[in-house]
Amino acid sequence: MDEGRPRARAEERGGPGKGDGTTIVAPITPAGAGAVSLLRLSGPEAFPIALRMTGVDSSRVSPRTLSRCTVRGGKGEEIDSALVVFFPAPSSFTGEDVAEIHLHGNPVLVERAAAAACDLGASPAAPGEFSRRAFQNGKMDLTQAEALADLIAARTTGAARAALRQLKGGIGEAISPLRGQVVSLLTLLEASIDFSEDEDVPLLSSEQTLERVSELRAQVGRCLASYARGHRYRDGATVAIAGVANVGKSRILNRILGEERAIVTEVPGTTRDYLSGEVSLAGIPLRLVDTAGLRDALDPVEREGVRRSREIIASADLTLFVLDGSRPAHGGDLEAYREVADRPHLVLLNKRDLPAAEEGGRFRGPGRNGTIPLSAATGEGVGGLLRAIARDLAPEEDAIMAEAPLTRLRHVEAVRKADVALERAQEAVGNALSLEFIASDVRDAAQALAELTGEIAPEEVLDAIFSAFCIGK
Amino acid sequence: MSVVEYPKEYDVVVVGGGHAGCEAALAAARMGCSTLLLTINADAIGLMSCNPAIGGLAKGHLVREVDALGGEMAKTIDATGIQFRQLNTSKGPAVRSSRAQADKQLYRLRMKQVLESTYGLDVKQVMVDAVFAEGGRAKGVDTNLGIRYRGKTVVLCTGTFLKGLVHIGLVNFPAGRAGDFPAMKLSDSLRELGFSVGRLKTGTTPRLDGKTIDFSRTTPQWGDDPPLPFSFGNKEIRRPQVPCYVTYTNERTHEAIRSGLSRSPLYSGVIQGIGPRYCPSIEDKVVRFADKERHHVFLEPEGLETAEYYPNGVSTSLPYDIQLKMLRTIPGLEEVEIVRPGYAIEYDFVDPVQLSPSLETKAIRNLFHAGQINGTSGYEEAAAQGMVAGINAARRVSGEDPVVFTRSEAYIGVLIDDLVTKGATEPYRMFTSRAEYRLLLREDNADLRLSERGYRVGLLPEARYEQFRAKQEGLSSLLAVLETSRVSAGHPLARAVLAAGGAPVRPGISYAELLRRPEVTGALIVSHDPDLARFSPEVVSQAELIVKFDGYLRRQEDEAKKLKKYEDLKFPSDFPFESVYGLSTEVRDKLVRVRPLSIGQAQRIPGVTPAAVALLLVALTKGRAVTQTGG
Ligand SMILES: Cc1cc2nc3c(=O)[nH]c(=O)nc-3n(C[C@H](O)[C@H](O)[C@H](O)COP(=O)(O)OP(=O)(O)OC[C@H]3O[C@@H](n4cnc5c(N)ncnc54)[C@H](O)[C@@H]3O)c2cc1C
Ligand SMILES: Nc1nc2c(ncn2[C@@H]2O[C@H](COP(=O)(O)OP(=O)(O)OP(=O)(O)O)[C@@H](O)[C@H]2O)c(=O)[nH]1
Ligand SMILES: [Mg+2]
Repeated sequence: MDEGRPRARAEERGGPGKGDGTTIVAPITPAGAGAVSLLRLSGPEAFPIALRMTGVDSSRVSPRTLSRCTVRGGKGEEIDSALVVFFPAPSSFTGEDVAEIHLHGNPVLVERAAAAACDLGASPAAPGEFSRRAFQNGKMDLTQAEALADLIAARTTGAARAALRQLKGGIGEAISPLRGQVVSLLTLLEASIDFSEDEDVPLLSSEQTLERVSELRAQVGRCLASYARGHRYRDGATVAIAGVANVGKSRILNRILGEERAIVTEVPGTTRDYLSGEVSLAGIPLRLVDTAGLRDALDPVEREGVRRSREIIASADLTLFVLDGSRPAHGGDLEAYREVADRPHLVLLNKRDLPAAEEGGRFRGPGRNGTIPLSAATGEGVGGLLRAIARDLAPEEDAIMAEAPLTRLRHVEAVRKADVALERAQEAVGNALSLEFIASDVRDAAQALAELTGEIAPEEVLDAIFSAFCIGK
Repeated sequence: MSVVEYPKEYDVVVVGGGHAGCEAALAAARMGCSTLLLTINADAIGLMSCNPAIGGLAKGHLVREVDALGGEMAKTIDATGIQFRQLNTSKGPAVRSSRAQADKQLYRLRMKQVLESTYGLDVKQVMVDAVFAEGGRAKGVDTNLGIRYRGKTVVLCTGTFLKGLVHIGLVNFPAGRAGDFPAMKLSDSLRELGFSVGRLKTGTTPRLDGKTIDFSRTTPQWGDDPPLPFSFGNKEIRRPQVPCYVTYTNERTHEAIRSGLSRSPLYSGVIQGIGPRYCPSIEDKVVRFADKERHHVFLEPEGLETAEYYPNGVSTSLPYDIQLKMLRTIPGLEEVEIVRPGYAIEYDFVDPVQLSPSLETKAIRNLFHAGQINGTSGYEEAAAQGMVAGINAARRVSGEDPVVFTRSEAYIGVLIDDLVTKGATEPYRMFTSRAEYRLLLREDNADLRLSERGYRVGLLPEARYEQFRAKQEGLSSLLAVLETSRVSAGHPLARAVLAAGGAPVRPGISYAELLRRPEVTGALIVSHDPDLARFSPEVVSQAELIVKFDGYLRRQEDEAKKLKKYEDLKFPSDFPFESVYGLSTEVRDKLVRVRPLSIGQAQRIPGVTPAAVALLLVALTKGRAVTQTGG
């Protein structure tokens, strides 16, 4: 067996790499430049992750040789057809296992592929981190070092420009006020720790602390939601149409697409496999998927169709659950509903052109407002449906990040870290831990956000304390 | 003037008998070096220039660390303290700090006595005018009497004395502190050696005559009962304890202060040096926080045998008449007499970016700086540095590598790293928020963190080392017991938890799991298991902390470990920061100024970006490649 052959399991390879045990990923070609973009993975999990993303059979590739592949995202969606190459440790750029994926030169594709790698356990590389690892593993000779310095110097100016752009109306500006609030809470906490002797420093009660932490978490949550949204603008969203047989799912699909995509008959079980079509709604590319009616089918083909429907529903951003409004809801409807109840969904009451039999009110799901009446036959109510879909996928009212949604993975990682730290702070307050623990969590949150806005130094907090309070006896 | 050589050459010459100098001289002598301590006034050895108190938030930590290493400050305050208090007890285990009022004269005398009884340590009263250096190496000092004392190493601990200028209103005069000669020449000698010398300012309060204070109009404030000692080697405090008194300024006080601002050296621009923001004068507070109706004033006794009181909170450099007018508006001080006026003092300091973390200067080998000369303020900050400088001077003499503490190991590490990496632009005081691994750096575990080091360098006495080992072993065995012992059904502990209002205990859970519950204490567990009676309360509370806050402690430990690898990436001493490819001019200037020892330190210099760090890494490898091919 070829020693250098990439394998699916990282443990088998006792590579000499000396990172911190994590696997990192980042594009290594400047964004938007050139016909090919290179995505590099480095670390103990680089091979397993790359193999899963590219679906390449590990027994068929040899090291340092390009293989054709299709890069797929977490939901199996195709991202790009690409080339992948594996460099086993120690003969790689970083001295660790390295996989490089050559994608078409489109920043969106690269970002999506990087996101897919992160879903599989990689973390975004910090600037210069590949070189740092290379250095640590003794992988750079004189000429390489020279060349690399050139590259980094070039990238630094680019990065500086990008950072500047971000500060002006971008991420930095959007995150800054949030981080400002985290730091100001930290200031209060630190002030009451370091200057408790000074009567002048107001002490936060645990209720006040909890309130402020919760408010911060809500804001962080909105930022993260904006990522989901920013993500949808870029990657699109999947909307499944589900319900029992014959309620009009296929006809609704056709109505929205404006074409006769799916076969519509009065025979229950007409749709055997899922069918999809693309539309653009409020700027979001929508993939609408018509599914086989949810029921315990006997026919093996139909049964397979139902299984696939379930898969689609499980991964969809939103499911339209359809009821036939011309007949009373029955046990089958209730059973089918159970499959969507925990997922984001809207309840549709179709066939409103026929005399109504019953209101679908009992299907109210959490956070949803009743049902959406429509008629796939006449088109009545379809506008309302589209508005409801748009509202669900891209809510506007919480558009804290409307101008600059979090789109970069690093941003999201940072905000998520902040969220985790704030959650810990909430727990700490709840468990009546003393101030210094809460402060430690809030500091972690500030630190995490600092990755988007710049450094946090202890001096920053002290400066704030000195200017805000009368300190010193 | 012709120079006369003193007949003896010393291993270590320490200049200055303040808090830094005393620790430096003791450390060096105890490590076996022939040591000379030179100071302007032998009666002022170990004198507290300002507040008659040791410790306080974050400062208490420094005192405990100095003690864990085998220093003197904690033992001295334990012997001479007249009020002890634990501060911040409700804020959490790591930010809890000790503070004590000292009998100022007793403190000084006891410190002097310890110096005098230390074998190998000579103390002499003399003014040092210059560092004697040849070929980039310090070789001794020259004094105002024309005597040259030779030393293999020199440690400067000159405090506020370098070109000290005292201000009281618009009156000013040279002094090292009120009542002491200034050192007018030494800082010029440092300038000539190439050091960049700056100017800082600090201030102190008037001292009041206690028999003219009406204490009935104030509120007494007592210390803790029983008082808890600073030193890990002491079990109790025997000296009688006394109260402090609290009173307040009022609108009339502020009015009096405002009436004197035009004659304030601060507000009229006479003072050029930068003062500490955390220790503002009362005029500063009144001007900057104009809407505050009152500021508190603590009347602290200067000792048991003196009537003098230190009114903490009214540091001032206002003219004498205004000081008196302002004080007499304060309840209890209506008829007060001032013994010594408050004043501000400007002094020369040597920017500490010119030091390596060993506190040796980069420009002159064998020359060390410690204490306020490095831009810090505070006795504890001074003592901590004195200790490190003394140790490293001694190690230089014996040809050993310097001892350097990391930021995750000790406040001493935070202090020195901040100084040598960021420099001082205002007087530097320690705060707990400066320590990013604050949860790890507690007063209670200072011995566990540092005593091994103290013993290894030859400072911590055998008996103290044994004591530390016993605590360490007790702790690890108790931790093991807590993990393995389980609460069986009907265990008295289960009943005790219920009785204490806790939820029922599931049989089979470990003591450690039980201890994680907020309502369960280590003492509760220990008192219900006779097998655990052998563990001291100190060990029990230590274990309790470790078990209860495991998650937090571990996170900080992991973080510290992650960063350690960058500390291990060292620059060679001749690393050409000037010519690293690709750096911006701004970043390059910063690197050249600080000359960091490691990638880790470089990362902490404000303004050094991650990209710059990557470039440094590249340059580092390049350097290696060159030396490899060259050699
Ligand atoms: C007016 C004033 C106000 C202060 N206010 C505060 C405050 O509010 N908070 C705070 O934390 N700290 C304050 N301090 C600072 C505190 O006193 C010092 O930080 C601490 O004492 C510094 O210790 P050190 O050992 O560095 O120097 P010092 O304690 O100043 O000791 C210096 C010693 O060096 C000797 N010496 C100096 N030059 C020479 C020479 N050329 N030759 C021989 N011997 C020499 C002196 O005689 C003295 O013994 C204040 C100090 C002063 C003077
Ligand atoms: N009157 C009326 N009839 C409708 C409407 N929507 C669907 N139908 C009819 O209902 C029947 C089933 O429609 P389909 O769209 O095939 O239903 P389906 O839910 O896709 O059914 P399966 O694929 O079998 O699960 C057809 O005869 C449609 O013409 C409507 O809004 N009004
Ligand atoms: Mg159908």
